[in-house]
Amino acid sequence: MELSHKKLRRARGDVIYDTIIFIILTFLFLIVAYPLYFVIISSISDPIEVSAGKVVLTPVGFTLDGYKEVFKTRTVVRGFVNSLIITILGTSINLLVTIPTSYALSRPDFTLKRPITLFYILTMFVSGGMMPTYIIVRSTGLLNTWWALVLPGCLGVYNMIVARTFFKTNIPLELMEAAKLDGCGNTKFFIYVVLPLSGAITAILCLYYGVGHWNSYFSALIYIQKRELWPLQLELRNILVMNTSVATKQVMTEAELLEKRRLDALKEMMKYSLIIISSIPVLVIYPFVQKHFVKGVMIGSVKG
Amino acid sequence: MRGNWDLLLFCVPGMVFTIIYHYIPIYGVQIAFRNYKMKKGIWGSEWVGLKNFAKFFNSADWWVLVRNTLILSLYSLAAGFPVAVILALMLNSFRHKRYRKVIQAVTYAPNFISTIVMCGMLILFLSPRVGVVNNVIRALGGETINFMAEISMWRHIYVWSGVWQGMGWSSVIYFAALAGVSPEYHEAAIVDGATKFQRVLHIDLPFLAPTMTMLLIMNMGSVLSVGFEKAYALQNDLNLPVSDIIATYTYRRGIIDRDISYSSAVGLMNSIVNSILLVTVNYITGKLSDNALF
Amino acid sequence: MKKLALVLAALLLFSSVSALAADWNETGLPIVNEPYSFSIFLDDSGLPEDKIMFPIIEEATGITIDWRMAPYQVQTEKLGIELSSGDYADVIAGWTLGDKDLIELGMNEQTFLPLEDLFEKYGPNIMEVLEKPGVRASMTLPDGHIYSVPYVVAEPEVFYIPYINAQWLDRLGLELPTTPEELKEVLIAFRDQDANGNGDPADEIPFSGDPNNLDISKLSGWWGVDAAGAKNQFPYFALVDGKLTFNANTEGYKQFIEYFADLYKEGLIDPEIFTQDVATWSAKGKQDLYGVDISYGPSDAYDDFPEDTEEYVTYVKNAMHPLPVLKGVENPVYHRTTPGVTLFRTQAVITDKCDEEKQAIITRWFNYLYEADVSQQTSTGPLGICMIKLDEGLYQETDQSDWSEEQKEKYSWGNRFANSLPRYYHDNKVLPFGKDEPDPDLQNEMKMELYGPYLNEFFPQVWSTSEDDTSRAAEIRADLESYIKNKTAQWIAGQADVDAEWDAYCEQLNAYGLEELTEINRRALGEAE
Repeated sequence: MELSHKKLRRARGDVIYDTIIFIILTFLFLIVAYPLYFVIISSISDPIEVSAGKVVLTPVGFTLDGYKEVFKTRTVVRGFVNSLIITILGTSINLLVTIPTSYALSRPDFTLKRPITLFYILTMFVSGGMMPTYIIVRSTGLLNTWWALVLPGCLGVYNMIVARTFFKTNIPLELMEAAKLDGCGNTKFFIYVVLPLSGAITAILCLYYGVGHWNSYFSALIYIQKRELWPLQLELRNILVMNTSVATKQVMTEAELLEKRRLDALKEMMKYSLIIISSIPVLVIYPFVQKHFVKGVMIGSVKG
Repeated sequence: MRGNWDLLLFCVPGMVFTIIYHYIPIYGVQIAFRNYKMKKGIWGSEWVGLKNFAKFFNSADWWVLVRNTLILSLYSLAAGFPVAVILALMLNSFRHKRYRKVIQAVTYAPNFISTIVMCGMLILFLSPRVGVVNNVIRALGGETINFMAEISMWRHIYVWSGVWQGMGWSSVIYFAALAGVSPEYHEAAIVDGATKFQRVLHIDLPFLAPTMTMLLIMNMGSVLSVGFEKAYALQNDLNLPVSDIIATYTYRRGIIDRDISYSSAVGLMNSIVNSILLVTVNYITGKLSDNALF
Repeated sequence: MKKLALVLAALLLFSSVSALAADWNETGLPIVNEPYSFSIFLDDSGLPEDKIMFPIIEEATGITIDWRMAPYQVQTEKLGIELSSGDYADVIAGWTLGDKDLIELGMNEQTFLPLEDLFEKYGPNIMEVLEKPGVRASMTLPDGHIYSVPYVVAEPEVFYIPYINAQWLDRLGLELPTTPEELKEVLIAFRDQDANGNGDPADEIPFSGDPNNLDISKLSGWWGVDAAGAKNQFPYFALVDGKLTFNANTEGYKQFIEYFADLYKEGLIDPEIFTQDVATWSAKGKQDLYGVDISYGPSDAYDDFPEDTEEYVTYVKNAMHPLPVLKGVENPVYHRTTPGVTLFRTQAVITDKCDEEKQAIITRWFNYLYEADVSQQTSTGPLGICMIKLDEGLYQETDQSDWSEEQKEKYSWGNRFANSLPRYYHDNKVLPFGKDEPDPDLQNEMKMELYGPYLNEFFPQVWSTSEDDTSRAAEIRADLESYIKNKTAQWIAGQADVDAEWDAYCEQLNAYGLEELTEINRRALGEAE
């Protein structure tokens, strides 16, 4: 009698709890999803309808003009392609540098691991500043090239630590010792054993580094003088965030005003489509890597 | 070490680039103590000692900057931290596995949106006449709010958009940690008649305590280093009193006003303070658990 | 070994000498006889490959320019980076430089080079501009040198004024207001009644303004004090009885703020007036939502109607009329923007990256740009396509009415040339297609009729003499101007109370260094006289 009474109470309390968190989670889900959804439907709607607030749940006045305008804008297309190249180049270098380093630092028998780790940790504390770094970049001939965006900072300390912990927990020492007994050297072991086991961490690093490159603009602002080499985010910044394309003391003749208005109107039409297009690569890679997240983050930060 | 020289080789390329592009430029820290003139170069510029630092503290600005920076990071922490934990707890105790995966996938996504796109979206959504937020407000019978102009709103916009963007991602750590809760605890609790809610409160939450503490403390270490990109993108003439933080100030003074020495000095001070905080915080974390970074 | 070294040295010397001397001409075209290039850094929202006149000029001069173009806001950042790092171009042009830069980087550090000798030797067209009244004096820095290429444009004497919607006045049976109180009545009527005749009495915005150069502080002139903050050599200062006076802390200014704060509170002012961007402002204008609108020309917020259309007549002639200078006091004033001609004196500089020969070639290039035909084409379009030449100084546009959309865009105004580079139009006249007379400047006529009598005195352009003065002035001004602009916006928008804060505000102005700035400005003016 008593037991079934308890069971009933438990079930009811649980049901209430479950319902509540269902509602809350759905609410959070909508809060995150709706703005993204809104951007999507606005990008295929008539801009006037969007401004007037008519676009709420479905596109209104279906049009692909926004996208057409984006593709017509050579600076944006060029920036997109540039960013693709920079991201692939940069991420490759990141991986080439980070994975071997992290593996080496994960080996307990590597006597230099403490000093080298310290060497990297210290970079989080001291930095020369923008101008001296610029001077070095310039004297190594990287100015106005994409190497300036990709070589300095090619090893991200946080990412290295995540990778190091991955190797620590996933490459058991016994494996290494067994291999050694078989006469396998470090390099061979790394190439034939470690790398094949590193799918998850490689995917995660690709995402972290890749998104980092794709989203960055500051280095390009400083080191790149030729507009042909600009990454996408710099062009985006012009259109989405910076609102004055004209100096305040500029001679505003009639013709100039007309021109400015024409340009501004074009910009307005593009904004939503631009947001979608600039996020495409990330959106494409994201689902593939997403399943590794929990595992990756877990190994990266919390010990067992 | 004898057998492991090839491991050293693994590390060499990274170290070489780091030395060239990070350690060597450190010689330039002295710009903060000189009156840098482009033509004279770093070595040729006149040494002025602490004059640039004095200039900063004598100006009307420094307290406003520090205050703005602190408020933004503490507010962000106070808002984002509980949200991430609660989200993880809820997700973990959620029954529908498939739906949960969908929710997770969607909430993680905003983390990867670039700052520029994020700010672009904010500016679009909050626009008084054409923005969707105000359209909704008006549809509900309210008055248009000019968000970007209101000083009182700026910090809230900054922080809560940050929470929106990061809550999913921040919750992953806790969610992953919760996977380590031994099912026996829950089974025992069920036998004792505990409701789900009680189980979450008394098992899951305490289990997260060490992780929470560690992350909280670590975040405190970067409390004065609010990044400049988002604040700069959302700044305008009207909200400057609250939106000007140390990083944006350093940027404006250095790049637009070309006062390189002054901006270096401010930046250097910021770095020093941040480093002290980080070391202290790491020390404390190290004492409390084994989870120090180094 | 020694012999080899000598031979090598000689070869080196020979090759370096011959590399130095380019094959160029001191007069006539082309300017160079072999491939030659120099770099120009400037702000422009377009791309070099779209500019129609570039290849034409390149063909004539033989010089290929290395264009470093990007939109204005980015270029202000890049300029800072480039000048600080030392990696700047041969020529820096456009809107990014200011007076302070010419003094600091020209006069003091010689990063920008003195040009007056070059103009004399190689730039007869440029000399013509220099000889115009007052130009040489304004262009010459205190050390006696000229550091930039003069850019002179004929400009209206009044720029941005408030326009009032006369159609709305008609529809509601109202009179043109002559005082601020009358204006308030009219604005209330606009707000409450269906002034634009669309059936909805609530959608009218009684008062708004173009975000470009929205300097609402100008309207303090209605109370007799000119406190214009923009397009003013000494923002918030004006000449009162020949003496330079600061006006943003006067009783008149306070009255101006109280008036507008009151209007704002009553919902008579566009809530977005301080934050909207041009697209938003223009979108609302297109829907005929503005009762009073501050802008450069009357039809700016509306669609650009061609001049002989009914819409043009409707809007320019019948709709938006200049609002008269309202009499808040017996003798109001209005800010005079130019004396009829404006000199931009920081438009193009030659940097020390150029050796003497390059400086000469660049001067010749600018001189070519300053030819009557060339300059005119950069504005109106290439000869033979967009216009034809009827006579010296007289041109006529071609018939472009049957052009396709692509053609129109290809030859659109923004794609003709880089519009932030200086030019010289030589008093050219351009006739529209099919007409014998150029169009009268209706806008200017209307404005001058109403505003002429109230325009205040113009002070001559000066340079601050000492570096300390300039940098100190810049520091104080930075704090002062952003503070005033901020507080004015806050008070008007009702975020703060001007009565309660006025005394603190005046004190804060002094704390920022107002007295010192006034002294510096007076010194600068005094020495010019």
